[in-house]
Amino acid sequence: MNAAALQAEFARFMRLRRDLTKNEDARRFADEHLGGNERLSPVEQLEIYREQFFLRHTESLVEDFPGLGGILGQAAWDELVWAYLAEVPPTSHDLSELGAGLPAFIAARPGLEHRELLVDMATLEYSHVAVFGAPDRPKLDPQKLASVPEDAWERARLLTDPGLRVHRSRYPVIALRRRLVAARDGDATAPSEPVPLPAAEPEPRHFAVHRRERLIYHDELERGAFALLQAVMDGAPLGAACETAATRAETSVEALGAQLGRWFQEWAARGYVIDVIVTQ
Amino acid sequence: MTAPRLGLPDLGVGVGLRVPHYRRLFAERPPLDFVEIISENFMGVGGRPRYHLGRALETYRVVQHGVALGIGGPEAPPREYVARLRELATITKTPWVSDHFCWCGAGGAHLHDLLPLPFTRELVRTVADRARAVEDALGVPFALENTSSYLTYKGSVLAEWEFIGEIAERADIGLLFDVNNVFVTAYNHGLDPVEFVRRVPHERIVQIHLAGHSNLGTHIIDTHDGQVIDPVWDLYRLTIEHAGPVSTLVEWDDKLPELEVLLAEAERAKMERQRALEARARSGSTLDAAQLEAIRDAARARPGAVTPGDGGWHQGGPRDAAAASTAEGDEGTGEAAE
Repeated sequence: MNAAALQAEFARFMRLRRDLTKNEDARRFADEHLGGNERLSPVEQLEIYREQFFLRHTESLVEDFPGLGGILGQAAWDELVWAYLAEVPPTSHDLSELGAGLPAFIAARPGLEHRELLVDMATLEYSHVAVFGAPDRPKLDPQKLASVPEDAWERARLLTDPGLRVHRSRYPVIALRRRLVAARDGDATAPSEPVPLPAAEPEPRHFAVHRRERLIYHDELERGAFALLQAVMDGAPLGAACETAATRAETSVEALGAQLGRWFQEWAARGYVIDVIVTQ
Repeated sequence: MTAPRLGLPDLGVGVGLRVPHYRRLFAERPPLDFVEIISENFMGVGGRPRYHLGRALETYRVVQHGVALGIGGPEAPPREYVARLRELATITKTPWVSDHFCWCGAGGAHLHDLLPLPFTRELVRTVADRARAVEDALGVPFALENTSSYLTYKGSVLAEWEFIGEIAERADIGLLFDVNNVFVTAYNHGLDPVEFVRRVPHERIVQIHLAGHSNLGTHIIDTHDGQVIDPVWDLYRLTIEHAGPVSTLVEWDDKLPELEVLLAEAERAKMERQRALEARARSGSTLDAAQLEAIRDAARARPGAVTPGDGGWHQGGPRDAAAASTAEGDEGTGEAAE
């Protein structure tokens, strides 16, 4: 077996969920290729690496998803995360991308209690990770804004800050996350009893997660503003974005248009919009 | 003839730049010869990690050390990854970039570990070719570090010091020599750590790493979570006596102590280094035959001789994570990550 084939087989064993010392394939592989010594058999040596694979990645996910862990509790968290790591292997050198697939994994996983709440929380928490390391971009140049001809706005595209994500959540996950993190950190003001779950009745919210300088903000959004921002972030020119947003927000283009000036001012002030691109 | 340290500068003694020390380090700015960053923690194109890197660069010389290149893996390191390393190096102005003699994944999976390589001729050629290509792409000197390992391969045909020495020679790159890893590997595989230190190509050592570890009796895990043990300090002096003055880093990645404890460990490194350099200047040694034998004896496994550990380890250090360091912000809806 050449090095590449050996490594491929080794890597496969790293992601098996159960102790390799009880796995006949792993034992055979280890006996054939690994040395072992008088203290550890070959498969016990291999098991050191498999165990560390799960410990290291679990620890990273614990850091990134404290609210999700707080909802699930230790046993269910372990179950979910170990299944995730076994089924969705990390592919990036960047550990901060490890949880990128977790919201979708939760959404598709059968038998989970409070699934919608879990998806909302995982989505919020991964947004924190994403905006935290997003590139810094210069703010919108007011002169460039002033130079856009009146009749060009309909086909103009708004370029948004890479440190911006918009969400529609079904549960008040921002407040819940604060409570769970405070409880985890032993904050004296945190409730002493476990946070009751489901934490709240469904309470749909629209909000932006946005990094401004070194702060991460949760900004409440009106439904129409959320729909429009979402369409703009999908790359639609402003005119088409308004139509899409009006449909999604179940309102008229005219009603949406009436709010546009106010929203745009707010977005520019917060730094959501960093450029306006007008194509001929 | 190869120049000592491949002609690269001796920076003195430094410490790893780690998130829990940011507040005090940037407020107090204690004198440090250099700080080492984990490249992958700063390879994003912006955000808070780059902000903190900028703060470090205001005061300190920064050296880049990576944990994800996987130079001995089934595929060559991705060009895009190397390009990002290069981009970071233009910002840090690091005198060299380093990573490990290891592999990190296969079949598209990145396992985020420094997995051991079989010491074969095939991999000497592969790793050397790739190392030369990486150095060319980076545009700065490149070095590879010997890793700790917890297993050996039946297919290995070279001793570890032969393997890393041959690759370094063939690729004409530097060695980042981790003295603690020599001890850990010697303990885990019954090697002679003194022989290991004596047999590597000393003129290629451009940097040294020192760290603590966790002894589980049956094996040692390279946890970077405590002080350097005395036999490793002895091996360090032996290395300096052979290699001369080499930039030395104290690694501490888990169970991080207060900053002054880390700085005291760096001070100890300076003292041990000075002792070794003085002995070298008079063509002597700080270690007699009995002391060398004591190092070998310490590296002989004794199941039952256990130092506490939590079983996990952080080769490469904790990353600058969003959620771990999030605190309530100064505005009602903001959360600061400081």
